Amino acid sequence: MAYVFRFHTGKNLKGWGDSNPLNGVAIQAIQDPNGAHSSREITSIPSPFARIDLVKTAFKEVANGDPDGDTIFHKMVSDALDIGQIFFEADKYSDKIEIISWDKKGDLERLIESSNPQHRLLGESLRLYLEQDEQTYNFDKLSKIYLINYTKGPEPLNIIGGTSPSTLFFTSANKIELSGFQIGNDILLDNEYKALYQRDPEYIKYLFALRNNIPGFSSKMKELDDYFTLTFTHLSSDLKGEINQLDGYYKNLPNLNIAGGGEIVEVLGINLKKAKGKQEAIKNSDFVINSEKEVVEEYPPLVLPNDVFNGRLTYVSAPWESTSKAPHFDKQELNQRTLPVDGNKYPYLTISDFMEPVMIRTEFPVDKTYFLDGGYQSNKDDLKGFLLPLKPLYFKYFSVDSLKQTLNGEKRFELRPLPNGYVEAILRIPIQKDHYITFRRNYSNPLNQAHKPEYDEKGNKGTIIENRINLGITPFYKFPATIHQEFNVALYDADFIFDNNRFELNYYDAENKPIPMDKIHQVQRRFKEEETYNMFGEVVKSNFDYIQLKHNFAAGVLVPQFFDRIGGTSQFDFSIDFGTTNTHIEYSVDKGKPKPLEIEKTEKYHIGTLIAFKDFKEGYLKALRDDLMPEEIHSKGNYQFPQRTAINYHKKTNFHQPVFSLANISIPFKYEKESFDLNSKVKTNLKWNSSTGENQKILVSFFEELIKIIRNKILLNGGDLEHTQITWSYPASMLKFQLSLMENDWQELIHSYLGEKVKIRKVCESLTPFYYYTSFEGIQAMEKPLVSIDIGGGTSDVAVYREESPILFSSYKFAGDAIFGDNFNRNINLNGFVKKYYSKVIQKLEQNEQGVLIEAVNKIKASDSSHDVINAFFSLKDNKSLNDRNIDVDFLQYLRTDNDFKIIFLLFYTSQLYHIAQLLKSKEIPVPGVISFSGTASKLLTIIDAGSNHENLKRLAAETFKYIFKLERNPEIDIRLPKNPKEISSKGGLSIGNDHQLNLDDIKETLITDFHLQSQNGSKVSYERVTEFEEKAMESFDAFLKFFFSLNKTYSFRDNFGVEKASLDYAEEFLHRKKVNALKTGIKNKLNEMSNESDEEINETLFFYPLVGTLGELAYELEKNKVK
Amino acid sequence: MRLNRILSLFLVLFLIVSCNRSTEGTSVIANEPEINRQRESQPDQLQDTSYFSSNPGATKSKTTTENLSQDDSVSKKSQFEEAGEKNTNWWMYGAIILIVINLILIWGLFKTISRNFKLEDGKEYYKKQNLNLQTKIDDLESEKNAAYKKRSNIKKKFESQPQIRQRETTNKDGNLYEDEKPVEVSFSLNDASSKSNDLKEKKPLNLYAEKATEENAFSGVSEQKNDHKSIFKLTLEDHNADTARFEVMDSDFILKMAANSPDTYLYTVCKPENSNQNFAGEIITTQKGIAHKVDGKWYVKDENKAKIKFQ
Repeated sequence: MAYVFRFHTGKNLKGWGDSNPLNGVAIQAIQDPNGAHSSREITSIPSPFARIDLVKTAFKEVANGDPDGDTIFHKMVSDALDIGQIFFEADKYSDKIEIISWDKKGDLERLIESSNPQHRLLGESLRLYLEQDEQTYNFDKLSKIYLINYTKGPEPLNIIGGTSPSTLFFTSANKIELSGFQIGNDILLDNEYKALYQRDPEYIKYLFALRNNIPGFSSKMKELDDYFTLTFTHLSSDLKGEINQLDGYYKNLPNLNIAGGGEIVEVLGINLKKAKGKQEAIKNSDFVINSEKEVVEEYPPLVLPNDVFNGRLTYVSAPWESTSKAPHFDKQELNQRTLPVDGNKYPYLTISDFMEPVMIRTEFPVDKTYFLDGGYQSNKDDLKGFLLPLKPLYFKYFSVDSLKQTLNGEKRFELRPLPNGYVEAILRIPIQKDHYITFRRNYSNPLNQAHKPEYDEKGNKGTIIENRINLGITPFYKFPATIHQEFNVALYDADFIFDNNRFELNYYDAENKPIPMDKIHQVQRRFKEEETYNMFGEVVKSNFDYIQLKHNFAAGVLVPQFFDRIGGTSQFDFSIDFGTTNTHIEYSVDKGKPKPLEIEKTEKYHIGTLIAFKDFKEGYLKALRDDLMPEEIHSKGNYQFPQRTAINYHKKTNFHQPVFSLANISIPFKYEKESFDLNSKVKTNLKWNSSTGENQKILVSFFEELIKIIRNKILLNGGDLEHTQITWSYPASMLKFQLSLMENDWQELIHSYLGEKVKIRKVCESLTPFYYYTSFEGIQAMEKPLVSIDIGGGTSDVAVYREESPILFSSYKFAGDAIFGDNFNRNINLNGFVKKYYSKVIQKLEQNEQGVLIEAVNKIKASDSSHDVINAFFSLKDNKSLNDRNIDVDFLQYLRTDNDFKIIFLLFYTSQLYHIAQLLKSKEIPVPGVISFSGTASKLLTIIDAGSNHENLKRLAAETFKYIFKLERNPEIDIRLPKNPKEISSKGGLSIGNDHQLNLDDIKETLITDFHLQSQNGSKVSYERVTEFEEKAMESFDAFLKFFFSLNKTYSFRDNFGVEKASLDYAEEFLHRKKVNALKTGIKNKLNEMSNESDEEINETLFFYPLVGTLGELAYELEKNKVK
Repeated sequence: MRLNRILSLFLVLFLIVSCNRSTEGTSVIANEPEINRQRESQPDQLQDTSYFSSNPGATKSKTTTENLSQDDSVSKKSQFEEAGEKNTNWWMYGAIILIVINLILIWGLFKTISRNFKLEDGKEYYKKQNLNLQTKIDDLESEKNAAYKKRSNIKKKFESQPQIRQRETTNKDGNLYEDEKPVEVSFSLNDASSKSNDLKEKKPLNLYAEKATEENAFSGVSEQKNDHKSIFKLTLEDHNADTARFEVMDSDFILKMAANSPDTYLYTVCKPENSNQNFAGEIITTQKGIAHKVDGKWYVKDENKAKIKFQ
């Protein structure tokens, strides 16, 4: 018997004959060999019309039974619904599909009119079907069929389904491997069939709404309508309620357009719609980041677990499967990302958005006092630290403090050591409902650090790079809004592995906004090619929360733990004595006892560093102390006030470019104590040398650093900036324009750094010691006058007080430098003191293995300044390093026991008294009851009298006044010479009352020679006439020499001071020989100094010129000739 | 072998030269009446035979002559015989003289070459002698080191037990006894590995240190040199030595680093002879320092600091 090639039953035909038409009955009669459980598509009739019909039949079959099942009908229904859902979620799959329209009229005509006979045949066949079955399948109402082309398929055209005039949607039954079609947990077009009632409620509502909008739906698509009716019975009551109230729902849905957005997809003339963006719904996901900050974002991102997550939290519309894992990395921009598993376009964050792929390791541990270290417990044998491998995005949502917090007992952020130097970084990000996502990344420890770091963000594999870096910040607190914000940040790069690796620092504020570049200035202070490391000094004029350090291969975050309890109500008063040699600052709190400015051990926040630099021996760590400031400045430490008036900068510093204190110029607190690097330049003599632009910048930098230290002192110790008072002193001999410039500098700096409300006072430094004595020593100047002599490095100032008020003031350049300096074109090689004591001091240091100090002294000697070398000698007495080892190098003591040079100091002291006595006499002021001394160089008086009663000094004073005032017997004159003469000026500055408004010009007097007072004839004498006084000046000096050398007869210099007659005779002869030349040179120098402003009035006596020009030479000759 | 080869070569050369000379000699010497006269005194028979046997040219002449007419033959034969007699005589003398001269030359050459070979052998011999002596010196040196080490151990022991040392080393007068040489008995197996270990231990060793701590101890001591961190080179007499001499490394990076921060890197264990400001690229260790190993760390006492100079 012949085989019948058909499914349905019917009459058997032999040859050609009429068969029964295929109708519902016939189809129904087809016997499914698998019992309708075939999973293979029915594809025996390869035409769209057959598919349309099969799907229609499938809906009918399912509607007549159970919506759930695994028959081929359930499959076709499920697939047709999947196609419908793909249309509905077309935006979601826009990267995978395109909708193509087939126009029944136009496209059919093109086929029929085609020149290709096969096309024509196809066209004719289609027309036949369309016309023949127009009633059954609504082809008469069909205008277009819309097909879904899977663009990622293997063929140019991969049609997976389309719209159907009979069932809304149908599948093509083409066997195409699909991927990425998933809604919730449902993978579309797979072998798991899903009934409509099990699908996304939005989709269900949409189909029901569509049904409502197609007129005559129940008749036109009866099978589908029946299916809907069946589905309805399976819906939840809530959804039923919503479906019953779908008025306007359909209209509010956006139309579904084909690609390009022009043509609207329709079925039976009714526009199809697409799902409203799911973004609104996703915003309610439990995985939405739980930001601490009020971040205004239309779509707050989700944070999705990249590892097994057991929390039962809603993802988009369904719970997150515990086994689902979000990718570790998504290359798309945040707003272009599609959610993993779900596929909706919505921003979500991966571990790589928060964590860096390369973690920066520091050579030494991070100092956790100052910076967050991630709780990393370093191996004892290999102490290391890490920058936090976080990206700035984290701080968009969370504060820097969050990193120290815990979530359900777990640290928000931690770094855990793993074997072989690996490190695990753990970051916990809070999401909704008190849950958090834990991100973990392991950072490998490459054996060879010289290689470019290799990492894999997609595979969540990080790596470590070690950088020899350090960073220091001063001050280490956040500024109040009321004052100028300015941080100094020093970055040290001592890497030697990668050449030309460029480091950069980015600062972010509390709102995670980068500090604008116009608020940051960068300079370079040290250079790798010179010192093996770079130092970049940055001035950041804004508060910031954290710093991102970046270089060519990695980035990391530094979170400073700024001190947050700054300011208070205490009133701080400061008095600054800016001296030629040393600068001293005293302060008092709430008008209490004055004390030297100190940075005590407990004051930890003047400066903060990434690496605890004092604990580790590396040049690039220690340099921070020089470039910023020492962590401690106090009398028991290595550095203290009074501090040498000096400044330090790189030799090549270009002063035509900006110079910033604590960036590329700083006060060398280690001067005279430690060695300097090869390219540093230390400059002294700042006070009298500010005429050029460079020197002016240097001077301002010096002041600026002092003011910054003062500011920190106030804020870190409960002070109130607005009630702060700063008194600065100036030398009386300073010219008015110089004083004006200096006053301007002080005011600008103080107001800039401390605020406009700070009270600023200026006071002549010669007047302040008196107030110290009256306030703290109980000395009164009532009946007898009190003479206060302030002997500094360059000038001596004399103030005379009577009845508590200053009545006379005079100043002259005859002070410490007259003895030790290189006056009148002399130099260090012609300095008797250096010649005699340099080798002695060095030998003493060598004997005590003080290599460091030898270096320091040698460096100073290399500057060729006798003044600086002698000051270095003096400083050794207070050197902590020597004192700690009980090594006494007391230069003052050397001089006390040196009888050869004593004549110099006798001349120095006696000449001062002689001139003052002449001055008082000329002004008809009686012999003083007290002569008090202050200033650094007043210590020199102890060379001729180290006794506590100062009997010798008193006697010399008495003899001098007796001689000048022609008294019959020696007057009673008390001498006050404190142990810390430099500090008296500053302390006195604090004691001056606010009513002190003295105009120094009113009492200023200059005794040009013993015979001429400046104020003598009413009109002032200018330097134009100075040569007229040469003769009288010489007469005055001769008279002094006569007095001095005759004094020896009544008061033996040999007995009382150990001065040999030979020395005395030599000195007398020498002074007489040299005096004229010295006087003339002195006058010439003065005129030069006046810069041809010879109409200026003579402001200092000519009396000392012969001594200024001869004392230094006398010392040299005494030493050279070994006069005994 | 070399000598034999040269000799053989020379003899072959000589024979070739001799043969050529004989052929050429026929015409050359025929023009010399003096020599011809001398050769006339040689016996005819001998001259004739030897000529034909040794001179193919002459044989050819003879054959040609036989083809001539009888008359010519008679007359030409008598002429040829006359000439042949004369040629044989002068060649004989010349050849003998040449052979003698050549033999003398060969003998002289042989003597010279053999003398050179003797010198070579002598050199080899003395080289071997030198090596043996060097090995002996090394062995003695090693023995000396071992003895030194033993002695220092004993010394240490004595120092830690002063009362015993007192009792054992002083006589009644309080004078020190002379140390007795310790009797060494080796119980070790004379295998190769122990020998190589011994050799390793006895070899001088260089260590490299990074910097010195505040306690004057070197840190980061290793046998491996790190170009960017090793500041000091420590030289040990052998692997077990607990004393080392040290000096500042001579590497650009280290010198630059140390010269800029001498307080940090150098002065803990070095005494500068001048200021670091004199640095112009070199830090010379004018006197090496001495470090002692205590509990695994290398310490430098103040008096043992190295002396350095910046230049």
